[in-house]
Amino acid sequence: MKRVLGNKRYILILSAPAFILMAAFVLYPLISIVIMSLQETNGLTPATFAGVDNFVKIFHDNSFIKANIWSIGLCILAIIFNAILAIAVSILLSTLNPKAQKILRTAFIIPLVLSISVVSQLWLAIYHADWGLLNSLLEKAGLGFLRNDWLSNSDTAMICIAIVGMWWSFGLDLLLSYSGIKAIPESCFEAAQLDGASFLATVRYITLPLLKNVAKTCVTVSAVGGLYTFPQVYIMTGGGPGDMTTTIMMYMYKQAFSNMRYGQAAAVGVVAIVETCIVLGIIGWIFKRGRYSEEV
Amino acid sequence: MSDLYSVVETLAQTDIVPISVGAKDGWPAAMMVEGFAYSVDPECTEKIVNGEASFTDEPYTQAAGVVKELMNKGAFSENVALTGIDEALPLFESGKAAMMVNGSWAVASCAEKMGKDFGYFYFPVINDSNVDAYGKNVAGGVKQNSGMMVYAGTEHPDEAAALCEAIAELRCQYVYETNGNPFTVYKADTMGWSYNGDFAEPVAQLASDMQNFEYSFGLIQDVMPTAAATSGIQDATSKFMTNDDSYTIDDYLADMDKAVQEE
Repeated sequence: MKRVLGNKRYILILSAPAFILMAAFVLYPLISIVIMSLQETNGLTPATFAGVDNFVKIFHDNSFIKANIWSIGLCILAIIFNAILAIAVSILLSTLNPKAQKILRTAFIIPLVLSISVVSQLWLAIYHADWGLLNSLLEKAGLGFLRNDWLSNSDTAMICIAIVGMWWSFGLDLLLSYSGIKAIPESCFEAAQLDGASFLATVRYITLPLLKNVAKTCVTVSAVGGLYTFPQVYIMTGGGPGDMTTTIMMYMYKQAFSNMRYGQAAAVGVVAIVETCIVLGIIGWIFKRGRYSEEV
Repeated sequence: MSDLYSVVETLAQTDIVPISVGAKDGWPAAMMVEGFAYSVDPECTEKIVNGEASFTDEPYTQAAGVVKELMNKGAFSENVALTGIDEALPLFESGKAAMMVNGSWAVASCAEKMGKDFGYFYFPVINDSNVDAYGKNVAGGVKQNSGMMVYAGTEHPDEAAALCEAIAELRCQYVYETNGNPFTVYKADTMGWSYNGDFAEPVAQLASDMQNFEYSFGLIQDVMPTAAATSGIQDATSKFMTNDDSYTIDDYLADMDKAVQEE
């Protein structure tokens, strides 16, 4: 085995399939999208070079700016209510008795088992203004004055969609953080207990520092998931009414498949990639510079 | 129009939705606004497409006002802005909605499903002075933006086009002779087609009405110059159907004018 792994030729041969797959499914589409973003094309007629025109057009479109704001908002909400909340819940969960832990853990993960399409249809039935569960419950509880067109009211539409995504993917962050807590050696907690550390002190000085890498993963997954919110928007509102609930991915979809502007859609894709890199960079910087940085 | 308002006000007091429309998809609601606008000037849409008029002119301004009035009277379901045609149609066919905004393509199937409970009428005229034009000027006709396409690089373009024509003819013959739907682009008499039976009364009536149409231009969602323009007018109309106070008639018509300029 040492001979194989020490030989560079073998390393190249063995890693070639992965490189080929990556080149075919990651690098090639990435390069194609950058090229397409510099072209004017409707997918039917030959493409013409357009320079940065597509980028200028989308940044002059109020709908695109609004979609970006919504997507960044969803990203922040996902970080707070998925990653951070999941870590807090998993810490509390780990203090319960094993049976309760098992039941609650399963309950939180159940939404994740369903596909996002099913979840979106489910919540559509809850939010429906005419016969939805939410309005019916409010009526029966004597709170009929709170009835709302949840998905077509500009004040509530986006929050309602955010809740769907967060409800669905909360289980994933919980599972990751709970596993991370369980991986912490018991001896650390026992030592803290012997020293008379309180619950909060244990969480602050032992649990969170040792959970840092898992927390970073949770925050990253949640942030990207929030930024790329699409399935629930497509199914529940189609980005409408108008552009009321259009996210950056929905905007890209509409540009490509409704407006036949593949060049502009590709430009949106490039902008989304840049935004993602910025978000990931910020997350990496925060976790690197955190109080519990590994360099300290 | 006063009759329509009166009926809507009466129905709005019941559990029945006065008018079902698939506003989520945009085009049914846009078609509705256009239908009312036609009673002011049937050439309104054609003029807009040709750059000779705009949505902020009288026909569409009046039409948008009518739709706004209908919304305020509770003519539509609460969720109308997010009700697609696939929800709006069953709502009507099941009797939960009294009326529905749709096109002539639905007359035959609705007549078959609903029997004597089904009938149709044209969009009411907005101004009483135009009442003589009721049912004479309609949006629609042969769609310019749908059909079969032949691959440009084919080595047999004539044969491919002939095949498309043959398929179209066979389909229309099936629709006429089997489904009892006379609304095809072919004249059945000329083609020698026959339907064994009587056409449903609404179907026969519409076929007769069509002979008296005076003016027709394509539906608004089919005649926009670009796909982006079509998408824009559909989105704007869908948003207008939320009846949000912050999105006024002027905002709606301005967005429609902006949409038609989209390249």
